Amino acid sequence: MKILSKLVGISIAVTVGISVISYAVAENVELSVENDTKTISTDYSTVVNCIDTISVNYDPSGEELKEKEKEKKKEKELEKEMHKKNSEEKTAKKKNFIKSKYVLDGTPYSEMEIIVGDNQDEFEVLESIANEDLKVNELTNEIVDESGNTLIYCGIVCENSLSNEENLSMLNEVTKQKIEKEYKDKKAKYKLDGIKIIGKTKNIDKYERKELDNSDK
Amino acid sequence: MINKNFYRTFLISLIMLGFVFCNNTQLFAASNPATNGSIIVVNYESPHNYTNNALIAKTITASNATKMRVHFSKIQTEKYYDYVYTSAGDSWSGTLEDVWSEWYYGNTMKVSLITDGSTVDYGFKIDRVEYYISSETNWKSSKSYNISKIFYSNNENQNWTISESSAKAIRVHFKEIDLEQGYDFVTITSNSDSKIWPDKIHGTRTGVWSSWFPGNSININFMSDGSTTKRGFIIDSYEYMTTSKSDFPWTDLQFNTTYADEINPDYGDGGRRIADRLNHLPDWGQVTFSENSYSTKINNNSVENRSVKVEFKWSPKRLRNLVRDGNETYEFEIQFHNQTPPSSPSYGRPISAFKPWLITFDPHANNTVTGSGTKYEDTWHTPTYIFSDEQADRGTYFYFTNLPTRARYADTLWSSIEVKNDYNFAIGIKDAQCINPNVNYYYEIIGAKNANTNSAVFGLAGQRGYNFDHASLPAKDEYYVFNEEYENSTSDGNNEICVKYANYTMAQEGYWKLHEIISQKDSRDKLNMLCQAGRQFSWNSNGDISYRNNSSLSWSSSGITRNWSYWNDSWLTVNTVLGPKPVNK
Repeated sequence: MKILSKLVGISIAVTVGISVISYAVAENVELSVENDTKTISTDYSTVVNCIDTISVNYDPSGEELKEKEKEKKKEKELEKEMHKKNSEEKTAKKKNFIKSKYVLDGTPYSEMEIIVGDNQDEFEVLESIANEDLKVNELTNEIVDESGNTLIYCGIVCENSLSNEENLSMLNEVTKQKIEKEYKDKKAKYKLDGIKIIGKTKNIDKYERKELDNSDK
Repeated sequence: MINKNFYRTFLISLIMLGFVFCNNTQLFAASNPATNGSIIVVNYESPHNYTNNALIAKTITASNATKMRVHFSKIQTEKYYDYVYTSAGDSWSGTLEDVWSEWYYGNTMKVSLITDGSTVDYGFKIDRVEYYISSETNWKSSKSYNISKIFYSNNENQNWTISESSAKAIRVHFKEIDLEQGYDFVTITSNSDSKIWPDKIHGTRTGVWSSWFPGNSININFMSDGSTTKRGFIIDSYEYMTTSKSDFPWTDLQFNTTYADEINPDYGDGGRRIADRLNHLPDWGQVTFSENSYSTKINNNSVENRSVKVEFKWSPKRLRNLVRDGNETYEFEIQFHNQTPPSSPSYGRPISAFKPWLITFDPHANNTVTGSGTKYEDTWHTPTYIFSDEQADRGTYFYFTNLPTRARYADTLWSSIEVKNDYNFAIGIKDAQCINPNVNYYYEIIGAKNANTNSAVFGLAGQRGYNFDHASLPAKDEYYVFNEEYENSTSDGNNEICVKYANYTMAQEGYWKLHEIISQKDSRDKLNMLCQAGRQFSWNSNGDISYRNNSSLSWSSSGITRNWSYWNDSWLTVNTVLGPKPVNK
C-alpha cells in the first residue's frame, strides 16, 4: 500500500494529456498496457511477453456490485452462526465396530477393525473376541488428558502366538510407562481404543458388517 | 461521489506499476525445448495491494509455444471472495506459495485477478513461465459447471451426475473445498467401472482437481455427518478427454503392470509430479535413536529394547504438493538394513554395521535377541490363524504416534519376504487429506535390541501412493499401492525418480531416490551417519542433513545436502514416459 501511495504522489506531476483515458477508466473501459517484450529463449526464436489489462469498477452493473456486497455480508453472518453452532454441538459417541469382508481371487479374506466404545469394558470386548476364537493382530490404546482430549495413541503389533489378553497386558505396561514419562502432569488416562483383525482368521465371518457411522467421532 | 482526479492519478499509478512489475525477463534453465520445457524467469505482478471491484489481467505470450504454464511464487487474496484465474482452468483464493498453473495448450495464456467490493490484499506474483515448442495438441476439453453447497447442514446426502457421451475420462475442478476433515465428504465415483477407487475429498483447500475417472460418466455425492459443519464446496468446471493419445498416464508400459490403470488413472503419476517439481517431502524432520528407554517384558521375559522416534512436519506448500487428489497415502519409513556383511570393513564401516540395528521382538526370547535376518516365525502360521504369506510380515513391536486415528496404519516389511534386505517400520497415513500443515507429527517404534550390532546403516524414505481398494486388486502384498518405491532405478518403464547424489558421479550408485531423505549411502565415508543409541539426525526444507551424538549437544552439519531448492533437469532422472529426461550437455 505504501508503494502505491508513493506512485500516486509521483504521478500527479505528469497528469497532462491523459484525462481522456482516465475518463474512460471511470466508465469501466479496459485499459491495456503493453510491455516487456524481450526475446530471450533457449531456442532464440521464442518471444515471451506480457500485456497488462486493468479494469477498475469491474462490473457492467453497479446494482450487481451492491447485491454482491449484500450477499457477502449475509455469508459473514452465516459463518458466525456456523461457528457458534459447531461449538455448541457435542461430539457423538463412538460406534462399536467396523468390519469389511472381501473375496480376493476366490480366496476369502477378511479385515475387521473394532472401535471400542467409550463406555465399553475392554476386557469384555476381548472376551467376546476370544469366545469367537478370533486372533487379534493389532491393539491400540488411546491416552487422553483430564478433559478427555486425545494426546497420543499407543499400539502393539502382535502377530505372534501369545493370547490377546497377554498382548493387551504388554501394551498396557508400555502405555503406563509413556504416561509416567511424558504425561504425568496432564493427569492422563488410557483406554483400549482399537482392535484390528486382518486375514483369513477363523470365525471372523460371524460378525455382521457395520459401516463406520456418520456419527462416529 | 468519487473525484475524477482520483481516477486520473490512479490510472497513472497503474501504468507505472505495470512497468515497475513487468520489466524483468531472463533465462533460467537452458535445455532442449523440443523435448523439455524451457523455463523463463519473469516478474509479472499484480499491483500490491490490488483494488476493489477490479479485473487485473496478464496476457502472457510465448510466441511459438505449443503448451505453456506459469508459476506463482505467491498468491494472496481475500479468501472466498477475490480469485486468481488462468485460462488453463485454474482458480485460487486465499494464501498460497509456489503454485504451478495447469498446462495451457497454446501460446497465449491469460491470468486474471477479479476482486469484489471490499477488502483488498497482496494479489499475485508470477516468477516463471514454462513452455514447450515441440508438437503438442490439446487432448482435453473443458466445460463450466456449477455445483455448490455453501453453509451446508448436518446429515446431508445429495448426488449429481456428469455425463459426456464421447468422453474417455472425466475430472472435476473444485474452486473451493471446506468440509469437516475426516467426517464430511464429496465422493466421486466412476459410473462406468465399479473397480475404480473413488476420490473422497474433505478438509480445506482451494483450486483442486479431482483424479481422472475413466469412462463417460461420473457420480458426485456429498454427505455430511451428524455434527459440525463448515463453509462447503464449489465445483465450477469439469474436463474430459476424448482420445487416449495424451500425456494422460495410463499405458501399461509406464506402470509396468496391467491393472493399475483400471484402479486409478493417476497411478504412476510420480513422473508427472516431478516434472512439475512438486516436492512432497516433509520440510522438517528429526530422527532420534534410543536404547532401553522403556522396560519391556515380552511373554513375561525382560527383553532389552531399542526405539526410534521419527518426527516430521509439512509446510502448506509441500503439503499441497502431496495432497493433489482425493485418495493419496503416505508412508514415512525408517529402514534398518540387513545386508550380507562384507569380508572386511567397507567404506570404513565395521562389518557389524551391515546388520539391522532394531528388530521385532521374539516372543520367546529371554533377555537377548539377535537379528539373523530371518523373521521370527513363531506359531502365527498355525492353521487356525493362517495369513497369506504376503500378509505375515509384521511380528511383534510397540508404537506411539499422534497421527490421526483411522487415517493411519502400522506397516512393516520383513527381511525374508518382500524387501529381503531391510527391516522397515512405518506408521503409514491412509488418507493424506487428514494431515495438517505446520503440525509436528511423529511415530516412535519400540522393538528389540539386536545384540549383533550397536551401530548400523539405516535409511529414511517418504513414499507417496494411492489408497486402492484391495478387494478389487489381485492378491498383493500391500493394501496400499505405492508408486514411488520401485527398487530398480535403471530399467525404463518403472516409475523411479532419482536425484543425483551429491559428490558422486552419474553412475548408478551415484543416484539416490527422490523419496529418500537419508540413505544408507550417506554412511559411506561418514561414520557419523550410522544409527546408534542417543544419536539424532535432522533435515530442513533444502534437504540439508545435521546430526548430534545426543540431545544435549548442538547440531553439526553432516555435509550432506539434497539441494531441494535447486532442482533442475541436470539433477533429475525420471524413468517414466512422462517428464523430462536428462539432457546431455
